[in-house]
Amino acid sequence: MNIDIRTIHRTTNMPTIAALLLATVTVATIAVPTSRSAASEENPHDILIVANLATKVNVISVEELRECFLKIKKTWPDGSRLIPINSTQPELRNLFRQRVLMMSAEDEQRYWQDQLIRNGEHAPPTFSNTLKVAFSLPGTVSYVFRKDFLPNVVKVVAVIPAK
Amino acid sequence: MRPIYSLLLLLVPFAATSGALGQVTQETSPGGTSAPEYPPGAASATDTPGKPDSTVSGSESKDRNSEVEELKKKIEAMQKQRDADREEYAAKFEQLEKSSIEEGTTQAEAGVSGGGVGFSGFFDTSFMTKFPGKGTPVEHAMSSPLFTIHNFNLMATSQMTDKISFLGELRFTFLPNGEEPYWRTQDATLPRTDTTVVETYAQKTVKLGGISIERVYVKWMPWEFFGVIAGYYLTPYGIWHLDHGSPTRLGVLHPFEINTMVPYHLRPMKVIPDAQLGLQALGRLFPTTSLYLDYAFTLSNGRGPADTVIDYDNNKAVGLRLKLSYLRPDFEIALGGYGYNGKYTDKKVTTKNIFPSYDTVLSYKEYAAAIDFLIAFYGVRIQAEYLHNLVYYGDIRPYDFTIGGYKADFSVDAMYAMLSYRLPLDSLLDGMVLTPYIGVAGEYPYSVDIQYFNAIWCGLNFKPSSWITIKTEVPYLRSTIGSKAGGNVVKMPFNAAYIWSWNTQLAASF
Repeated sequence: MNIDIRTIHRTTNMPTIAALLLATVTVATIAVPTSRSAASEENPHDILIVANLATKVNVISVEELRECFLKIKKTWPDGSRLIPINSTQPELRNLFRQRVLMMSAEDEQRYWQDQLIRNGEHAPPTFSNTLKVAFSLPGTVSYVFRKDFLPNVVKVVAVIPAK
Repeated sequence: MRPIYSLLLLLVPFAATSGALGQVTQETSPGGTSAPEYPPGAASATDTPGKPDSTVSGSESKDRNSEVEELKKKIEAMQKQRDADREEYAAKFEQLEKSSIEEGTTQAEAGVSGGGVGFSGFFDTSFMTKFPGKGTPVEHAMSSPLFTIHNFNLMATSQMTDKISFLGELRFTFLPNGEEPYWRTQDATLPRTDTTVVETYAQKTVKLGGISIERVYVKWMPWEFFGVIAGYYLTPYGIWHLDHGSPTRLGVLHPFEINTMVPYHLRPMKVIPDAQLGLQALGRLFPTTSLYLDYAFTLSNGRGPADTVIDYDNNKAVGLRLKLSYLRPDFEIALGGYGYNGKYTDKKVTTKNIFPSYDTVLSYKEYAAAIDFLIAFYGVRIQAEYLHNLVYYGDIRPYDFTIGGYKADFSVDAMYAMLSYRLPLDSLLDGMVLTPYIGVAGEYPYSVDIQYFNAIWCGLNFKPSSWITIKTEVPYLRSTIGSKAGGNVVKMPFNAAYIWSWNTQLAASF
């Protein structure tokens, strides 16, 4: 929107000044949340769901992610093998478990005990450096905090906001 | 004009607000995720540099061309930088791999392939006591309280390649020591198996037990929608059956001991065989997210007196399993079914002039079906199953001493339903789980001899940790025994028996 300042100066009076001040205050007030939302996009504790670069999938939903990590679904849409990898970082693992699996640690462990007895299925393995595994092993899907992410090494297929 | 400018100035913040809200809305898309960030600086798929607009003037066209060229150069530079970054990080990872103290390849560590065997298992021990009804034939039978072990199972699993896996399970048991025949129709002293042996030099006695192979097979799954199992596998039916282990099952005792009385050898027989030796084709399909369809086709030796060693007929048993499930974090519903058709043949072997001769002593065809239903929401769980079996004898019918004649074709219906509720006390119990449950069951064989079983039970399932389960339950079992004579049901003198029990079990998985 283009505003001609010379025209404003020529027609300025008290009510117009008040309106201008009000608009300025309003803009300043609203601009703050915008900058805050920009900051939340870059929250270092956002969870980035990462996959091997060769993976053809670009986006995955939380529901699909849950099915992958509970081994209900074991292949990508193109039929290639899907390998879920958990992290050994306690904070990251707990947050992922709450936000994606929607289970407590004890419930997750019970789930895998039951799966092992029913059909010999084991829980996904854990690694300390999930980026390394996602980089080197085709078919892998794993997760890292945004602060630990390295660009151009793996692809991001989903973002779980920290809050 | 002045009010117009004032109005315009007031509209400025609202324009800015709608822009900010658009950004926030995009952040909180359904499911809590947002699309991956688009790499900065890279060309958009829609930003295709095309031919200059013929309606644009010459100077503007030149400006656009130069802009496009600049963008192209920037893109090339960024791609080169990206490739350089990749090489740099790949080198770093390679260095990390070499210096890593972890053993094996990443594939083996990830369990994708590489062989290796993992061991696990489960075990349970129970305390059981019965309170049989007064004046019933079972009053003096099996009433002493006792400690017992039902399961000590060891499982071995291996992921040989990304498509081939192995599973084997052995059950260690104290049997056959102490086994008594299930039923005899004539007065006799029931022999009891005694496997006590003496280790002379160790100066101790040992009661030998046994090892039962629960299942052992190789699975080949080239695709999620199709794979093959070869070996001895659990028949894919039901909920209770596929839960399989005492730590997984909700209650202590099986909801019903499905005993189809086959008087010839008087051994209890399940409505549907527990396991089969042969092949199974299986797979899973995903019509939509959270909805999946499991199927399995079984081909096996079927049932026989020694079906894992020899098949006395050319008939192979076939079965088909279908199960539709919808699974969400707070809601689950599933409906499944299994149909089975097989032939049971028993032969006795005699030698005539040194050559073996096989004579059929029993043969029948059977058709069985099972339906299972499960629904779970907010801690409530309802599961129910119904089984049906039809037996048709051929020319060789077994003689039934109870009726003084040859046994007729028969059928049996069996069913149960259980309701449980996981108490919402997680925070109070610090992660431990307490689940009360109740159940009802019935078994109704339709034959010349009638034996109805009805049971009702209630119990408590407590999981102090993910490895331990403690259950206690009180079942009430009532049976009615009679026989048909001339089409009328005649209740025998001991026509009813009822038993109260109290069973407590500790199950552990490892």
